[in-house]
Amino acid sequence: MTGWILSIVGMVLTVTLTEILLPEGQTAKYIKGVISLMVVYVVIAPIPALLQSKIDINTFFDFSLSSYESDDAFIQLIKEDKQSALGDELDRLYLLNGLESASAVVVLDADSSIYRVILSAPTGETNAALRLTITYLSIKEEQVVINELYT
Amino acid sequence: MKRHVIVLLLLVLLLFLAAPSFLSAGAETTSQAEVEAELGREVEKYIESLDLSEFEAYLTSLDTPTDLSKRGVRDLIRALVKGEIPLDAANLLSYFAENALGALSGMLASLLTVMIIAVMSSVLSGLTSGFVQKQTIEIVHYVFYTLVVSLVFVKVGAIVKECRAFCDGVSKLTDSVFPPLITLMSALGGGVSSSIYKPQIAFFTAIISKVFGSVILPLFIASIAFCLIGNLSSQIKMDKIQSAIRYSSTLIVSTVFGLFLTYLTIAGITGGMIDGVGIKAAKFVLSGYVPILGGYLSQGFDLISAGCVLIKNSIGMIGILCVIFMIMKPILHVTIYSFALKLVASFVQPLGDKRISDFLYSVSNATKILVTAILGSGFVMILTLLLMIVSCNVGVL
Repeated sequence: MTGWILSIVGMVLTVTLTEILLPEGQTAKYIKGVISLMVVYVVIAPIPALLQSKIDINTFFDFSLSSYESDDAFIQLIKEDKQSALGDELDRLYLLNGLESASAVVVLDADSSIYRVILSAPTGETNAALRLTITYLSIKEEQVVINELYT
Repeated sequence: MKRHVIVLLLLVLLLFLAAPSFLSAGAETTSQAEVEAELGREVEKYIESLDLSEFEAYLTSLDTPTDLSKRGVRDLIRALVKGEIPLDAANLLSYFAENALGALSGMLASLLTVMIIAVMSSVLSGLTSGFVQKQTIEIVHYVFYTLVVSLVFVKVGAIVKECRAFCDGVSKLTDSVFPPLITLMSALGGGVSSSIYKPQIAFFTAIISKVFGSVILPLFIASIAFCLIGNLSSQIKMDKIQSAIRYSSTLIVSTVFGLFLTYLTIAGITGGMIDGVGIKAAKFVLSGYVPILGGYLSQGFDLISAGCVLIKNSIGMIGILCVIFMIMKPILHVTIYSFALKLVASFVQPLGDKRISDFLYSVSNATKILVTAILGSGFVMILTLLLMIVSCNVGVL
């Protein structure tokens, strides 16, 4: 582009100099006409080259850019807090339903969905605690790992 | 006496009837205050745990009103979470006026010189009009024209430099604002949204710098060159090629940004909806299936989500403010320069030097290319931030 603009500037300067130096008369207007044609040629010169060239978008935009990295330590912290909050909530739920010895540990997956619940309860409370857990968290029975406590 | 006793009894009855509602109102306020305090603690904990060092460094380097850059990102998040607006209207106005006046005073000297040169050119043209050799008048015009062009080009060079700085600013802003936003979205369970935004924002930053550096700025420079050439000789006119360049640059900016924006909006909204369904389902389960206890029990889980959402949205809001301040300076400078050039061109025109006045006016028109590109970039950035703000909020709404 720089070359193109410089050639136009050069052409226009030539025209200007010719205008100054050219003596007045019949020939002058023909010379000016020829010079104007040359200006037009300089202006449209890059068009054929542009039409023939193949534009490769990959060379223009770098599609192999690395994406932004997230703070994994923070995500882990939130996940642990959520797990702990859900565990506490389940423990309170058991307590409010008279299951004093039952407790639960919730394990979340990468999408913060419930992956596993480890339920610890005495033999007599297992079924009730399991039912409450499944209802409260709306999870499948297979997701609950029961740790039966023998007293 | 009997009547007094009845009134007294009624009053006591009324007091007894009203007491529970007073008590419950008090309890509700306490409970609400407790929740607010708990939420405040969660927010504070997560603000301290989140890596905001790059954002902090960027905000300090950004030219903003003093109350914004002095406070720091963490303090601004705390203020926004509390519902405070971190910007004072008076400060904002004085910042705006200061920048506008600064830009005006910076270009006043050169514009006054342009006017003086135009006056001198007109005077000398009058004095040389009696010359037999018309070429002498032309040579005098070229000398003054060259002086005006060099004065204008100094400022145009400064504007181009400022636009390049804007491109660098865009990549610095995206590098500092988007990682914490993506982290918070991932932490909130917005896996789909964050996987959509992660590569797209990096791509967008590349688009802005590429489109600006390889298309818009060369087109602007070409347009300025044609302004110079077109008004150099009365024989050759190039105003049509200037309008063609202006049109094509606007077309490129609107097409590239429009396509990107459409794709980002569709992908962002879709991703947000997919994530939203998951988060909403989790929320429904916790508070719905155990009707009496659920509302209370899911509080701890909700507080964590609410705290993250508040921080995410506050960072998004600070990001939007940063974008506004980032585009404000170049936009102000370019707009004021464009307006001043138009003004000078209108003053010069009656003096009789049509070519100088036309040159100034066409340079002023060429700056529209830059204004369009800067505003387009700013708009895309603000919309991206807004999309990220509205994503992954379902669980707390």
